[in-house]
Amino acid sequence: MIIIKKNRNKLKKPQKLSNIEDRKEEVRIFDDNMTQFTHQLQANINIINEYLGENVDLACRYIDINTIPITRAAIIFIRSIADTQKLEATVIEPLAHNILQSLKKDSYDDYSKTADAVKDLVTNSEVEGIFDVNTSIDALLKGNGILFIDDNPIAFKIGIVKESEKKYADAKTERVIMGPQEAFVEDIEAFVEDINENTFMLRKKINSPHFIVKEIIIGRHSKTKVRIAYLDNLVKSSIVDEVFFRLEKIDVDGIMGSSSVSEYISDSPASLFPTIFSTERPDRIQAMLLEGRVAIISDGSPIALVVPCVAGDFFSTPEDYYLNFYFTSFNRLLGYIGAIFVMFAPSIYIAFTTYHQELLPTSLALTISGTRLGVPYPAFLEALLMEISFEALREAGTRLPIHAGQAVSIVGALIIGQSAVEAGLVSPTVIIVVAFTAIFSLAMPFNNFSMALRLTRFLNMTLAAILGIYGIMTGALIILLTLLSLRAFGTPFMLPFSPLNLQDLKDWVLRFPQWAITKRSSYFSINPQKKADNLKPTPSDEGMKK
Amino acid sequence: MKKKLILLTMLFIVVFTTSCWSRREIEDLGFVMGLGVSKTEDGFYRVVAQLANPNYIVAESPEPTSIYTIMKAEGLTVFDALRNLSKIGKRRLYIAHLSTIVIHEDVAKEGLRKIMSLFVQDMELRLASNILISRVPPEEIFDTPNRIAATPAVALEIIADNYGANSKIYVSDLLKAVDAASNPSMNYVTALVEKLSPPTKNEFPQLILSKIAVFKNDKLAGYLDHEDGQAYNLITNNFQIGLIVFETKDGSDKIVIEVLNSEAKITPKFINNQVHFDVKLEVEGSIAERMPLHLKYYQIDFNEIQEQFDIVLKDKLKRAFFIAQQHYKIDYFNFYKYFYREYPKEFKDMMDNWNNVFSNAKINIEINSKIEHTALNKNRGRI
Repeated sequence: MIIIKKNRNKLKKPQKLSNIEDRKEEVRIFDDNMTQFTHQLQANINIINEYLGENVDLACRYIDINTIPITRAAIIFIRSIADTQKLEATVIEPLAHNILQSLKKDSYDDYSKTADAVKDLVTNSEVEGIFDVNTSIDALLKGNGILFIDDNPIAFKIGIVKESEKKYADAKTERVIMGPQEAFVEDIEAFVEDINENTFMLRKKINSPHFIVKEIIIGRHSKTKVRIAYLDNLVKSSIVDEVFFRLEKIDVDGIMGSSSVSEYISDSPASLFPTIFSTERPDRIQAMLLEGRVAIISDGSPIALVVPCVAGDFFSTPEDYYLNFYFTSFNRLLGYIGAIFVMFAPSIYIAFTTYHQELLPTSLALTISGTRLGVPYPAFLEALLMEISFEALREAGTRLPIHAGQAVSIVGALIIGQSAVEAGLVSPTVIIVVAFTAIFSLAMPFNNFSMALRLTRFLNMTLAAILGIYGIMTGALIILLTLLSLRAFGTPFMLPFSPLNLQDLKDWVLRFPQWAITKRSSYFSINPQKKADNLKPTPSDEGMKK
Repeated sequence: MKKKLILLTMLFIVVFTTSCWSRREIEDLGFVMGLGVSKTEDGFYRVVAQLANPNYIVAESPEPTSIYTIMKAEGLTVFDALRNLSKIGKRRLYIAHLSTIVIHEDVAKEGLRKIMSLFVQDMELRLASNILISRVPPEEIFDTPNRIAATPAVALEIIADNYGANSKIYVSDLLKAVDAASNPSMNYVTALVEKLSPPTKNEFPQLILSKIAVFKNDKLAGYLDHEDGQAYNLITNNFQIGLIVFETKDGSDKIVIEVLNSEAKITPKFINNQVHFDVKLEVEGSIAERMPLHLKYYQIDFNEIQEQFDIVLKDKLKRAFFIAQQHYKIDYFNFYKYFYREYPKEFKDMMDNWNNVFSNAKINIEINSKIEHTALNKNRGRI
């Protein structure tokens, strides 16, 4: 028997949020009166469309059931999280081929007959009648299908949830020790349209009617699918509009992966520093979507873009939220110190040894002087030589297969590290400086950002060789002004620092405990409160405290 | 656009026409660690520079004599002599890391003002180098190899930094010397360096900072021995953790007090045209050693020792003031600062004659000592 739930209570409606009324941004608010389905099939479909119609992967299939007269029916499902094969086999096929008696109701309230008939026909293991709109939306977002039959105000929930097989790739470039290991797979839709693995992964993580996935096609010949995902009650609509405006402007033969999309939509296309965040980890995208940002996933690329992004994002590793917050805060500070080190360490070495020997402690000055004795090149050339050979080594190590890569590191360590010093071509001090710079740059969580920092190092070295510390300060000013002038989709790039926002520093510079970070940055989101304020765990009563 | 281009070109030219001005590679520099100033019989100034040999310093076990070289040149002034050093085939001199300046007694007697001009003018130099007075030619002081792998100039700096362990000497730096040279009321004080003969056959000769050299303004006037050196440091608040040794009243024990904390407060008074100074000394210490002179142990009476300690300190200070007022007639404690702050108008009249005024000043000493505890350990060595 089918148990028909006559759950007429108002379920969790998308709440109207009081603290955003004074803002210009408008949040989509759902009609409170639409809690019940109607007798018209099309009206029912429209109700669902009201909630989820914006999504590209919402699908609706009309079926004519062989009754006399013919009964129209429709099944609605979300393509990326529903198992369409199951749908075809267990719902469409039996409904379309079997001959059935009339499904028209006999009396106004007697739906059980219809339900029984559907149950008899549909061979799916899970069929459940739902009267309530919210319950059916929740069911849809879980991956179920919703079957409407004309003249029946019932939604039949059909269990066609796509099973999550373990078929995503392990994260390769953003590895963590503790925490989820999954990563985006190569195709968001591998030729067959309904395998939407990447959308599936995101949909699995965010089950909200506010979660919108839209699609546009880019490329005259490649016709690449690019999907834009966001939560419409958190994101600033101006940012979403801007993303669409910029994506629609792209008129090219074809695009290769997300990174080439990012070059077309970047705010400062000529800037050294990336202003668009790219990641392969769904958990990270989930977190950023929940901060009110927009994710862009393109077909054929395992990398998703997230806009807007700020400098602070590049210092947080995917692992930050799986580890103890003291340790994570230390790691973040290490990252910031490392960034300064990467940019300035070799140039400080050059400036100190060729201009400002008085700034070195006496014993260090004597040691450097002693070890540099017999080195044929000036300090600048020496450091430049070593930095360039390190960059070449790094590049060789990435390009070569793993086994050959080891050979490169042996060559690097032995030949450059040891022999060059023994031959008196470079001093050991410069090797140490270069090694420290390399370690810090490799310890930075994001390669594209640390690459930008590494390039600034050469500018600083040149300036230091010409002007000493004055040159380093000039270089620092140039870098700082560049960073400060960057904007990412209307958001200042140096966000937690300039404009200074103490709330944001909690999660961008240090990592406060989860219960203490209760606000999103108001720069992306129209709804800053993301958690309750009193989440700090305390015993419930006096008895527990003893 | 054109404007931008012109600006950019100008910037480019400004930056790149400096052509690495004042660039010098660190390995080309001769690091001068010590500088000595003396006078020849003909009246020329003689400058001795002690250079560090960096390549031997980084060597694994350098010869004590190989880590430095000494250069000597003469000239009409100190700077002239220093420039004459460049005629000698060595590295280019670099005096920013100068740690010790040794000045010969004869030059110091003539006055530091004459030779300070170079040190004031030269921007390369930090004013933190220590100044020491020597009775022997500075080159002899600098040519004292040691086994601690430090150039003699640096070894002298190490001794100077650790003066607080005994608090019997006081070393002052170039900044104070420049100050004294330009301030006629200030009397300079620093340490005397001497060379000891080697303690054993196989050892090298050794350097010692033996006495405090006191100056009348910038001219060397004489020396203070250990006792007065301690008193000097107590009065001028430079006393660190030195030891004060005395015998108990009945002569049964020798007590050593290690001073933990000392503070002297000087209050000037001007009554009936007579300058008075109230010196209030507060000393905290602990009993660090007890040497029984007879074979008999008894309970230490704290109050008694404290009273005794008060008397010892008072005698020390009295003696120090007596020497300053009666023997040297110089205010090398630089009490003029306190007086000037309280009575700036009156000081103006006495300024030229201050040392005499100080010599006739009445000094009232008040000691307030406190012995915190015995640092003596009874149980060590017992089960």
